[in-house]
Amino acid sequence: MRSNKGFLITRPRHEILLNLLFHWSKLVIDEAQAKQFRIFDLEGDKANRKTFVSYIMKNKPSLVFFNGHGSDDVITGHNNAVLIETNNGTELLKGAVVYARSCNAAKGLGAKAIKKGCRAFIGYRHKFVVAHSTVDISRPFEDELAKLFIEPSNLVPISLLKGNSAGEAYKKSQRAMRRNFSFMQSSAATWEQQSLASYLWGNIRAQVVLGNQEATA
Amino acid sequence: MKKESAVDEDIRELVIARVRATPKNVRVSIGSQDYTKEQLIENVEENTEVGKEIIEIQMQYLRALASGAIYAEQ
Repeated sequence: MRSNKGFLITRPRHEILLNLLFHWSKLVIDEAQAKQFRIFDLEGDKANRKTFVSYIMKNKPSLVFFNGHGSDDVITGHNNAVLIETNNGTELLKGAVVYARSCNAAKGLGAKAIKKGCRAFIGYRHKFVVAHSTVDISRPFEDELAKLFIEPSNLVPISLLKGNSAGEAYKKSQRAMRRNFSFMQSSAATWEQQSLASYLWGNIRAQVVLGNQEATA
Repeated sequence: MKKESAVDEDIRELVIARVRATPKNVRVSIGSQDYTKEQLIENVEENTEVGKEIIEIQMQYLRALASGAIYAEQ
């Protein structure tokens, strides 16, 4: 029997990084299917403000997962058009648990969303950085460098879909990033991986959880 | 004691040296842009917003390395 819980995901794909996240997000959608969530997949050009507002108002998803560019006060969708702003739309997140895989959005927008009734907001208060190889762009899952950055970030929504709390999902992602970071500093890592470990450290430091850490999706 | 601008210049040189040590066959996605090694260096040299972000990331890492925070928190 299908759950009443809804999962809304935005995944524009108009740039290289967004295209990588688009493909990696499919694994999260698979988990949502396995857990019987109702899935609202705003992929490609469907990641626009009109569709986002319409879907979220009609379906009131318990988990919202943004993939897109961000700043302190904005998260964007297809062609970097604004989906939600600190002063326009954060009330739409009321009652939801949110993960924003976007630069900086936890800083202003995330804090405002919590004030407006969002139960928990996991995101990044600085840049979210992904290093990737130039040879594997057409095969995103075979890029061993990108995997070290993206796979631990996927753990946030996957853990939430499995019923973990926001605090637990954050901790699982942090632990996975630290494991990858340790590996990247080791002699078992390639030169590429070793030389880019500092950027993963940046993601570890930038990721935060705001609001009620006990909240579940 | 060195003046602040001289310290900033030393830091910039240190970060450029670190970026220069990365391989050519990788890209770093920061925000909405994808950067080659050369573009990362240019941004640090020209002290753009992205250049400042790169300096901040690298210095945060080096400070954590020096203080042992990297190992303490693992």
